[in-house]
Amino acid sequence: MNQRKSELVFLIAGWTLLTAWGTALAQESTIPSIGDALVSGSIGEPSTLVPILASDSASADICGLVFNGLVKYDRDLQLIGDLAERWEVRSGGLEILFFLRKGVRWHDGKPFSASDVAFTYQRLIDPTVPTPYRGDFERVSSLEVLDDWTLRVRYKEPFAPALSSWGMWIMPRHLLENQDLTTTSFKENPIGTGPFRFHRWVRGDRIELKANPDYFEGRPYLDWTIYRIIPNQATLFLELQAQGIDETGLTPLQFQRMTDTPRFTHSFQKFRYPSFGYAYLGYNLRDPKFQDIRVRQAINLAIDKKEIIRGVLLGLGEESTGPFPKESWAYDPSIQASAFDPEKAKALLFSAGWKDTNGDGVLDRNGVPFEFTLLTNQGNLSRELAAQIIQRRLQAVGIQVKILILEWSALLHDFIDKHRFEAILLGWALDREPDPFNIWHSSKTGPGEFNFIGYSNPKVDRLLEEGRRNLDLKVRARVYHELHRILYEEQPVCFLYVPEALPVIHRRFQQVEVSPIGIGYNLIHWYVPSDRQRYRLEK
Amino acid sequence: MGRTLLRQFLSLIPTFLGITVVIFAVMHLAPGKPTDIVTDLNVKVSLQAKEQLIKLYGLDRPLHQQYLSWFKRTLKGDFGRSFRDGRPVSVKILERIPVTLLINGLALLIILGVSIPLGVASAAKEGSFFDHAVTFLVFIGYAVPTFWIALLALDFFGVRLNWLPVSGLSSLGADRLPIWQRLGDLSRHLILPVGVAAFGDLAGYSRYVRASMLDVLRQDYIRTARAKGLPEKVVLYRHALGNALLPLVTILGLSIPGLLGGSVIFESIFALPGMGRLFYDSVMSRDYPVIMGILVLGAALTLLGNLLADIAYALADPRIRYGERQ
Repeated sequence: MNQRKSELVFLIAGWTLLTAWGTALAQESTIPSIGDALVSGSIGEPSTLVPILASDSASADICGLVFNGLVKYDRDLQLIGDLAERWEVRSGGLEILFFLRKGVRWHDGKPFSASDVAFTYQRLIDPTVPTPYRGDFERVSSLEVLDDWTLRVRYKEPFAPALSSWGMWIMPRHLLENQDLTTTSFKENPIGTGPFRFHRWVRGDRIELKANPDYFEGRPYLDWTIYRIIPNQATLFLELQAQGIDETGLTPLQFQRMTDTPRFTHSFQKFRYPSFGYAYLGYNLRDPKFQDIRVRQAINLAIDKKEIIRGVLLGLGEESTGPFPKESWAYDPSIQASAFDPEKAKALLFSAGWKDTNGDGVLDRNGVPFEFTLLTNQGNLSRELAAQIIQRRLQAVGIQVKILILEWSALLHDFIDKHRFEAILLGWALDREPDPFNIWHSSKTGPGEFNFIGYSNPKVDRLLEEGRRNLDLKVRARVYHELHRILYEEQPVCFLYVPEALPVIHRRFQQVEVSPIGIGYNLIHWYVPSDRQRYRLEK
Repeated sequence: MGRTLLRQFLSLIPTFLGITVVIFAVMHLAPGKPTDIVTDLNVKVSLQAKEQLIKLYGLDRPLHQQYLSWFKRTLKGDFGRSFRDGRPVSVKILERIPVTLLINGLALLIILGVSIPLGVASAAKEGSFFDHAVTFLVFIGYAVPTFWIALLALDFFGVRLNWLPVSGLSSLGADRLPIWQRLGDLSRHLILPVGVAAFGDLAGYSRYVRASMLDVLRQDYIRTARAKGLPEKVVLYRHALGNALLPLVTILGLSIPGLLGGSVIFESIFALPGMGRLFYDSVMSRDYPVIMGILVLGAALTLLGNLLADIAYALADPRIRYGERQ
């Protein structure tokens, strides 16, 4: 699977490899030097640093450096051991045996052991703990500590996402045993096992993390990573130009039009790679208009996705053909996006009984014109613009679209949860584990559940069940490829685009590279040659 | 005077209660719940987990019960804990107040220091080129959006000239410097936000001073002072200004809540951890306890500011003494 990536990823990977190789040659003799700080700019401030309560991306960023899970994803999106040295899956997936790494210490010097994992698990399933991550762990029937470094987890039934769910960050029992997780001082002073130790949190301003000299994979070369909280996109960009921060994410406009000055390229390196998510046009499948597959296929043909990517993302994105990220083994690269073809779309609509009988430019059937309202959320410029392009393209084939932009909460609770919509323009952020059960299974159509479009297909249901029951990656890949194909053919939603992540990083950092999982997975290997180091903060 | 004051103070209580009821109702009428930020479109959250969260926060109880339990706690001085991070609301507010107070206080000092002389001078030379030029300038400051001036100033002084830091209140590693260097670092960070904040508000104050100065200058006693042959400076600053500043007392009283209010846009652009951002963030995450805490504080300060303005007015102007009705 991995050999058949998109050309683009190939190009980026190849180019990164070349540059990495080039710098490696140029500095063959230099040993990576210790020191300096990586200053990142972030829009949001973390809410809590108790790992199992952290749900926002800022909290997750920090927790990811301070804590470890039992397993993690490597650069090629394969699960590898983290706090677990290795594991065995037994009884067809009903049982996982974890063998933990020995000699790991918490940042306060106490040894890490299996009882910490058991403690974290107990807190995850404790109904008084407001964690959003309980779902995956409710399927565990028992967790036994066999000795300090061996754990046995049993499941009620085989559950394929089980292994990846143990990427959940492990918390120290000795510090949190009798604490209320929502009020404990640990949430602003966390102790983990990760490559960086929490140092200080200046509220509303920044969080400072210091290298952990005893990290089990080796000490990071950088002395510090500092998160500056800058809640304004424009200021973030100005601060980047003033070199007050070393790393942040760019908008497509900044990436394409505002960063090609010699001064900027001299100091910064831009990266681009597909993000884990996609935007889609979803139909309310309870609506008779959209129940006809020909209508949905026609809309897919009538919308020019390339045009949306050019106009909205300034070319920094790719067409989406299904519910999986392109880098995942679940993605079937043989599925080709259908070309933009308004004539064929018109023919399909005609065969479905939609024709313009009164000559007003809008198709009708039994006297009812083909028009619908497209809802999207306020504050997402890309979606607002994409909606306008879709509106014009559908008008060209005789479908009248009205756009309604709503505040997020109102959209979600007054329209989507109550199924009061005709069509929506939204996106899904995707996990590394591809299981999309909650989005497409026909049992998940209740209020507040995620199959709000009301998709129901017994074959898809069966595939989804099989995909999460079977632990063999080859079988799962086959199942998900078939699912991918059915979803693209049936078009329960019109898959639009995958936006690209656009990070920018100061050039003094070495070993920065893009991989299928993105950037920053090898942060502990980043270093700055001693003559280019900027910050000498005392320890 | 004491009894009138007490009566006025007591009359604030029903107003205050009314405000809290309205705030509470409006907040809960708005779509969305505090749990949304964790659960919305988060595929990992099961429906049961979502309901459990709502129960944990007590959001499943009838609204009047929620209000009463909130009210009882507030009477005891307990604003509760934030839904978002579990920290006490009072701590969250207290740690944000110094920044906002510092910036707004400094800005207010600059505004008064600049707008009073400007207003006086404009009034003294009413209709002159100077008067028009000042009017033109302060109205530019008033009309142009603060965020735009702020961004231009950041780009010019921070990026192009690289003279001043772009955002935040301290440089990295500043806390390891000796105290006087730290103060220098802080002042460098303060120049742009304080300057920009002051520029936008010059218009209001200098116009007030000018207008009331013009009123006063037309009074008979000023003519008398001039007739006595007093130098113009003495006439303006000793005789006229004192009386002309009376209306300013009211405005100052009304600006007390503003001192702690902070502005979202402004604090976001300069990345300052102040009250405006705290409020905005808590509204966006429907963090009811924090929203209530800040609004109650704001309401209390506004009412108190009105009362103070009344008192100050009475003290400054013998014609409006309390309890001396004929």
